Amino acid sequence: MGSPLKKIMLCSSEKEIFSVEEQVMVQHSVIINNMIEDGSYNYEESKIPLDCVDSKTLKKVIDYCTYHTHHHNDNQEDLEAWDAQFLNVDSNGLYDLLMAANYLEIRNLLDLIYRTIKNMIKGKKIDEIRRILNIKDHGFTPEEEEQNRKEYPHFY
Amino acid sequence: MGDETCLKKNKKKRLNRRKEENKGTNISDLPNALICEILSNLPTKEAIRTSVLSKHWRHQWKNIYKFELKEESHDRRENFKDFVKRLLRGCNNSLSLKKFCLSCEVGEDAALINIWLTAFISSGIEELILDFESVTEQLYFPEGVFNSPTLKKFHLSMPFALILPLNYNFKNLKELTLKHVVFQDGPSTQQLFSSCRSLQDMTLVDCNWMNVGTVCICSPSLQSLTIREWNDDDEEQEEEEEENGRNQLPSQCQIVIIGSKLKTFSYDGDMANHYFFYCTGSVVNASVCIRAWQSSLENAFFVFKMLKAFPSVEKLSITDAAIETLCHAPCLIQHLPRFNKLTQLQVQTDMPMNFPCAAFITILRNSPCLQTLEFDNKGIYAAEEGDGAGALSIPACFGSHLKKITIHGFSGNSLELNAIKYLLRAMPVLEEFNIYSSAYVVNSVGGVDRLEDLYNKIIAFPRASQDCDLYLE
Repeated sequence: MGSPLKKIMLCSSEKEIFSVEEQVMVQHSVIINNMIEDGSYNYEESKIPLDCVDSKTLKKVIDYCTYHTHHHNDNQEDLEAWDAQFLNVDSNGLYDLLMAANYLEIRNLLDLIYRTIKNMIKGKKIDEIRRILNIKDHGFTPEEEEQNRKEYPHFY
Repeated sequence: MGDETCLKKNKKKRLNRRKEENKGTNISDLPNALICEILSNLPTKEAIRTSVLSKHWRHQWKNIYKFELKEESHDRRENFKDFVKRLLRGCNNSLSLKKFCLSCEVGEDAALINIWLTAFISSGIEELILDFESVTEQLYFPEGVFNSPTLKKFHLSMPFALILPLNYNFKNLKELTLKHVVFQDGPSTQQLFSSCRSLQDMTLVDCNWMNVGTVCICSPSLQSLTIREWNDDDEEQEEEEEENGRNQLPSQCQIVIIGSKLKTFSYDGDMANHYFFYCTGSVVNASVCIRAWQSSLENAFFVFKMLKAFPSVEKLSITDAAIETLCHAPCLIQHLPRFNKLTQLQVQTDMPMNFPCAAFITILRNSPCLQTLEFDNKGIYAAEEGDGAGALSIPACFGSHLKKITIHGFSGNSLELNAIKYLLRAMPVLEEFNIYSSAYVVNSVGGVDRLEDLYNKIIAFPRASQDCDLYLE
């Protein structure tokens, strides 16, 4: 307590600046860890531009990293409960997070999202999966769709 | 200023685009690499189903890097074969799998399985997990299957002769598991083991060593070695052997283990083969689980050699059968090594063990730093009070290091109480004494009352350590 924690600046696609404890990001993001390690980040001036991550998503990513940095000693059950609550977002929000986690190379968040998507679609019917993944337009002509259903009845 | 307007414009454009697409990223916006990752994390059947989700996903599954093909039940074998056939046709040889698991019965289909192996296993394969059952004819692994320098993990379970192709490349293999395989002969087995130069982890489960003679396991970076060899109790096999008119013991193999980097060694079996250890002083975690109860000097020597091989062990697990076997060879007991680093000792008991036996007391006496002692499963007893347990000199670790004792399978008879009484009296630094009673005590009528009665009895025993927590459940 008391000692000023080193902060770094992250800049979202909307050019909103987020100030985060360095340790939080370094521990989770391979990319940011590399930037800090090779000295390409200047604490006085640099802002790390994350052009493909919007503010809403970036805020969530930072929440995730912060929580997991400060609670890594919590028991597995509590952490899983927190993760489940954290990923209680709509499918588009989930893809945004996936893209961001992929861009920042946050391995544990990526694994969490893949696991979540797997559980979302496992054992579900095709129509349900389309709804869950928010596939509005599947792009098949009615004939093709008919053909698929005929050829792979066990898929549906 | 100009920049700002540009920014606003961009933002507006993005927002418009998002509005059209119901806000946020759509799944079709995801790069193929991420979709590939999502699909590879799905069970293979589920991944393939996604081909009818949308046109965009039609061919995505062909990029996945992991296939797990498991035949779930024999009744649906035709379905499984059909599924794999369609799968092969569908992906049209364009696969580049990193991980391939195949688990099925072979039966009459050895030729078909060989075709599958060639088709699915490509040069970039990293993990290969093959589980075959009901093998009735030779499986020949096609040339090229094992020729990948990227192969890191290979697991093969196959109750049949292991015939490897002429050229195989295991030089970067880190993890090798062989289950139920029948090694062909000494030279080919030796060649297999010698070729695994980067191996770190080796597991050999119930393999048939009959034709091997002598073989040496000596991968320079081997860290963990697990060997299990349970005598086949298969009635079928016994019948077969009787039919063949050969009732003699299977010939034993001599297995030489040289492991200067070996950290973990685990043996679980009936002493079917001979083992010789060299340079295994680095082992810190050892498990010597002998299951056979026939005591002979030869068997005692088997256990003795294993214990002698791991003088630096920190964590040791041993069975009561191994200790019992040693007890029949007093001449060896006095030459047991000192385990100066041993801190955790676990005894797996199949029957309640007479704990103050000469072999066990010697192991304790030779382990001056022992901190925790656990008796798993069936508990311990001391045959006589006073002159039985008491007459043996108290091991040094009892006086200085032993902090925790756990006994499972306590039934509450007077001989068991003797053992507990002795231990409590002998250990001044004990912090924790946990006793778990066997299920039938607790579940019997009046079991809870009896347990309380026992607890009161135990707590009244004289204790060398006043601070010790006593726990009975």
